[in-house]
Amino acid sequence: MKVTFSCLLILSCVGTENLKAIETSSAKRPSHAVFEKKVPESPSDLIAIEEQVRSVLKKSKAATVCIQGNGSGSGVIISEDGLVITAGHVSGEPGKKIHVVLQDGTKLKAKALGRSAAADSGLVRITKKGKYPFVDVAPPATVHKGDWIFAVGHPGGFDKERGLVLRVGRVIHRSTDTIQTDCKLIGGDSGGPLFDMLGRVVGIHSRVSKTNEQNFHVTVRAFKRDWDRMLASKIVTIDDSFAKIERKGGFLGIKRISHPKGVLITGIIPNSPAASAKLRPGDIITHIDEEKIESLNLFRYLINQHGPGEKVILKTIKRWEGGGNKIEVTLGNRDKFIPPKKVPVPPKG
Amino acid sequence: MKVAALLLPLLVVSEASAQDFLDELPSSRRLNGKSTVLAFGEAGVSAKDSTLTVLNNGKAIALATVLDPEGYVVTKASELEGMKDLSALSSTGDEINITLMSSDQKTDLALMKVDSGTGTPVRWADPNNAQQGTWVGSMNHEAETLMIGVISAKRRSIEGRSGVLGVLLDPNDDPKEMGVAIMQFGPNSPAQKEGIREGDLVIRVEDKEIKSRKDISEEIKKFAPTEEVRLKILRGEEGIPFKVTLNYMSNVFDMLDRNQRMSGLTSKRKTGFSDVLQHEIPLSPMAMGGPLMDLKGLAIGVNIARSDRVTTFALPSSLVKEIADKLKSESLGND
Repeated sequence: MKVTFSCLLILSCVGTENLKAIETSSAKRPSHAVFEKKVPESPSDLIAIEEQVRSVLKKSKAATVCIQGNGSGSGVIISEDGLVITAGHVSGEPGKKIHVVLQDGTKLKAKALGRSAAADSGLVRITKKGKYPFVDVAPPATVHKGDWIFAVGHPGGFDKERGLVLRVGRVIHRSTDTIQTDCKLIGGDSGGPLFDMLGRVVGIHSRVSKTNEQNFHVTVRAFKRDWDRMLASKIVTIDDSFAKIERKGGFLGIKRISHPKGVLITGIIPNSPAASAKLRPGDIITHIDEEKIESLNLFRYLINQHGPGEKVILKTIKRWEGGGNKIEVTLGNRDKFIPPKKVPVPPKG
Repeated sequence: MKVAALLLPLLVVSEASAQDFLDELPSSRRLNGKSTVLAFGEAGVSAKDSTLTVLNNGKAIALATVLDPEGYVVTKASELEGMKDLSALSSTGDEINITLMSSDQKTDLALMKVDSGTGTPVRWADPNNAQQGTWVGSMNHEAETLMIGVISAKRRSIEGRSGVLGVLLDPNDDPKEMGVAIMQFGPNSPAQKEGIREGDLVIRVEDKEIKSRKDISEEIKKFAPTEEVRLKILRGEEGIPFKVTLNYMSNVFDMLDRNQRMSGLTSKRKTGFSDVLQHEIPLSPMAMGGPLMDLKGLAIGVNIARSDRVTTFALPSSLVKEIADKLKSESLGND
C-alpha cells in the first residue's frame, strides 16, 4: 500500500514492562505553525517558540539534577521513584555510590547502575525512597533534523544562585546513537537532558567539538537498545548492543546489502510481505518508522523489534531513478519462511 | 556524452528524497543562521542602528551603545586598557573620532563621546521583563551580523576575582622560614615580565614580611587586576625590589582550565559585577559594549563579558542608565 508523504502519523506503542518508563507519549510536536516551517519568519514565530519552551520549562527543570561522584555532571529523573538517565561517563562504574542534587540543592544518596561506554548512556538510581519530580521520555526517533529543542543542565557544576541553565536550538543531525544540535554545551552539562518542544527527553548531553554548532547528545534509541542490561547494572559493550537482540519473529522477505543511503534490496523472497508490497531489487530502504537506516545492524534491529502481523512504515527510493515512496508493510512470520535451525546434536562416542 | 548519460540517473533525485540525504541542517536554518536571524525583524535593525564599533589602530576591539543624540556612548572599559589609537565605526560604516570621557571600575563601563547625531539612541526596556527563555539579540564582532539566543539563567551578582602574579609557589615551603620560592610561571605572568626568575624568594609583598604561601595570597587578594604591587625578592644574597602590575586571572589561568579551553576567546574581565543578566548568545569578546535587544527592539542591557562557551553577561539597563548618568555628570564637572 502506497501512502503519500504528508498524511502519515506514526503512533508507536510497542514496549515491554521494563521500557514503560521510556515510552510514554505519542504526540509529535506543538500545533503552532512555526514548528512546521523551515525557519521562523517573524518575531511572532519566535515568540511562539519562547512561549512553548516556557510552558514546559518549569517541569523540565524540576526533573533535571546535578550528579556528583565522578566530577560534576547532570542527569534527569524519568520515574517517580527516582530513576535517572545520564551520560555513561557521568554515572561511572556500576554500583558506585554517588549523589544526586535536586534543583533546590537537596542532596540525595544514589547508586550508579549500568552504562554503555560506546553510546555514552548511563543509569542512576536515587536510593533514598521518595516521590521525585520526573519527566517523560519521547519514543525513539520522534526527533528529526530541523526540530526545535532545548537543553538544560548544570554547566560548570551546581550553582544555586544561577540555577539551571537553558539553551534553545535546533537538531542539526541525528544518527542511531547521536543527535547533533546547536544548543551550546560545556563541562558539567554532561548527562543533562535535551528536550523536545513538548518537554519530553529526546537526548542526553554527551560531548562537544570546537564550534558552537557541534554539541552531541545520546539518543533515546541508544538507551532503549541497552535498557535491560543497563537496568541490571551491566557495562554494555559495543558488541552487546547489536549482538544479542531478541527476535520477535517479524519478517519482511528481502535479500539486501548495505548502501550509503540505507539498505539496497538485491532479491525478494516470493510470496513474502516484501513481494506483496511490490518492493523490487534496486530499491533502497532509507527509513523504517521514520528512523534513518544507517547500517545493516540497525535495519535488522528495527525489523526484529516487531512481531508477525505488526506494521512498519518503510521509506524507499529507487537506486537509479530516484523518487521517494512511503510504504506500509505488514510483517509476516519469520518461522514460516525460514524454519528455525535445528541445533546439531554432537555425535555420540 | 557517454559519460554524461551514465551519470545522469544518479543526479535525478526528487526533491523530497534529496532533502533526506543532505546530511546536516543547512547552516542558514540553524539558530544563528542567516534565515533564522531575519525573524528578529525590526529589532535587529534597531540593534544595528544603536551600535558603534570601537577600533584601536583600525582593529575592532569592542562595540558601543549609543545613549543620546549628543554622541555619548558606553562600552566595556577593560577592553580599552593600553589602547592608544582609538577611533570608531558608525553603523553606516564611516570611521569617526571617539574620545574616552571616564570609566567606572565596578561595572567595567566606560563613557565615550562621538560627534553628536551619530547613530540612533537606544531605547531602554525594563530588565525585570526579561525571564529565562526571553529572546535576545546583539550585534557580533565589528557590528556586522546580528546574533540571537535566549536569557539562559537567573539575574544575579558575579563575585570578583583579584589580580594575579601568575606564579607557582614552592608547595614544600616551610612556613616558619622567611620567604617563599617561585617554582614556575603561568602563561602571561606579569611577575616574569618584570624580570623575576624561577628560584627567586619572595620575602616581602607591600609592607608585609612573607613566611608562607598564605601570606602572599592574602596580600595579593587585596588588589584588583591592573593594580601595581611592590615585591621584595631575595636572589642569592641580594634583595631586589620589583613593581608588578597584576594581570587578570583569566589571562593567566584560562589556558589551564578545561572549560575555558573549550570556550574559544573570552573576556579578560568576566567577574566582579553587582548585577548581570545571563544569556547564551555566542558573541566574540570583542563584541562587548553593544546593546542586548529584546524582540521589541528595546535594550534590556549592555553586554559586558563573554564568560565561557555557554555564557555571556549583560549589565541590566537600569544599572547602565545609572552609571552612564554618573559618568556623564563627572565628565561635565571636569570641563
